[in-house]
Amino acid sequence: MRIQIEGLTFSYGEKRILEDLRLTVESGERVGLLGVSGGGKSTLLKLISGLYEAKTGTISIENAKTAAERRQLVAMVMQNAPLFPTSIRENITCGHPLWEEWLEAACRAAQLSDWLATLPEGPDTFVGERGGRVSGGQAQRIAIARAIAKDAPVILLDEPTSALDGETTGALLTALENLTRGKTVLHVSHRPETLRDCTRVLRLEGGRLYAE
Amino acid sequence: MEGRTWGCWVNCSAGAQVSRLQNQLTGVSAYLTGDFFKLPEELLRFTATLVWLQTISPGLTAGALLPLTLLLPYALLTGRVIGRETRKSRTALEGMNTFAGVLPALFPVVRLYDAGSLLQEGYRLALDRWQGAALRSERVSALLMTLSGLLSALAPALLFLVGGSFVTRGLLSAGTLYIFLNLSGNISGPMRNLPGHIGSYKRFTAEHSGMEGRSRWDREA
Repeated sequence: MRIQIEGLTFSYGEKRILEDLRLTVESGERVGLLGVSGGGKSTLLKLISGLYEAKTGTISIENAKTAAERRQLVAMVMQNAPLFPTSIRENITCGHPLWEEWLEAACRAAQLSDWLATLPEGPDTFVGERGGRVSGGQAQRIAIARAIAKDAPVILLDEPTSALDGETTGALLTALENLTRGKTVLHVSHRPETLRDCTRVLRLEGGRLYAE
Repeated sequence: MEGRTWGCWVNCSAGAQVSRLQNQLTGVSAYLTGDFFKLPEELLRFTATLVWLQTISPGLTAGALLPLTLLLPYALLTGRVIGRETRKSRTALEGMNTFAGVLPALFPVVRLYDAGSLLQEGYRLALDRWQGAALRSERVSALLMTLSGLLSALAPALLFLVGGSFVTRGLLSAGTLYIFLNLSGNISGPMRNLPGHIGSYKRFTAEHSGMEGRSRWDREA
């Protein structure tokens, strides 16, 4: 699905974050987004996903123009995957009914199956209060399985590997590859090497986008 | 238990930490301002009365003390049970607070994955768990205290029976028995309160251990 942004301006109080921003991401395209911390990359993803409402400018994903409509079409994986203090299963399904086969497929694609097989309670294992019983890499892959299970046409990635060590990142990259295959992807990072598989890389600077 | 508390201090939000610390401070100060100073006062009155009664009639004093052999182990058992129930109730309360505390971090997930109902259901379950644990703790305390009240009533009953038989046999004057019965409150009172004091102490140590976990983390951090 095609993402189209026209004349988007966004501020936090007096601080202008995005300035008359224009962007088109074609259906199935993978676009990387670079920029310094605090430069507005995450804010842009939150606006596209419909978590924030744009006051000036328009954002559309195909025909979806309102924030509520866009939220239906987007799945996002963030830097620190927050988990509900409940089971792995419910963290993936988010309380919605889901076929067991579909759940298993999502876990397999997110590289969770081997780990789940070692747990006595499998996907019904409690993740702990604030996800305290799972590692950062496992929490991140649960978040990816959640995004896979949603099967949204647009995937937004907000530095999904930055908080993890090299050993964990391998499985995570495979999981991300499975998540984003055939989807429209916008991948935010401050490290250019993580955006190698993107068809186009842009830089967000001073609230505007520039080709890298 | 302490490890879990320590883990919570590491992971919890500032609001959840303050809320937990307030609960623990309330529990600790309730013991210090309530039971802590009552105990020596009761002990002093109990010992003074006991010594005086001992000089008047050692046999009758021993009779009045008999229920203590039953009450003491009962009080120790009661304290342990109340301490355990208090810890369970506190854990359930922590679970409920945690659920409320994770909301800000989970906001994007709740919105994007339409997970409001999951959050609502999870909070309802945590609330039910806390309610169940709190009710059980109160019920167990009330039941155990009732039984200890019955046991402590044995002291004046024994005084009346044994003292009465002494009076009829001419071993004790009615006036002395009257003094014994009047002062029996100083003996039976502390006996009756003993399980309560031990229970309060157990609650105090349960709350205090939670605060200790936090202090240790502060030192190590």
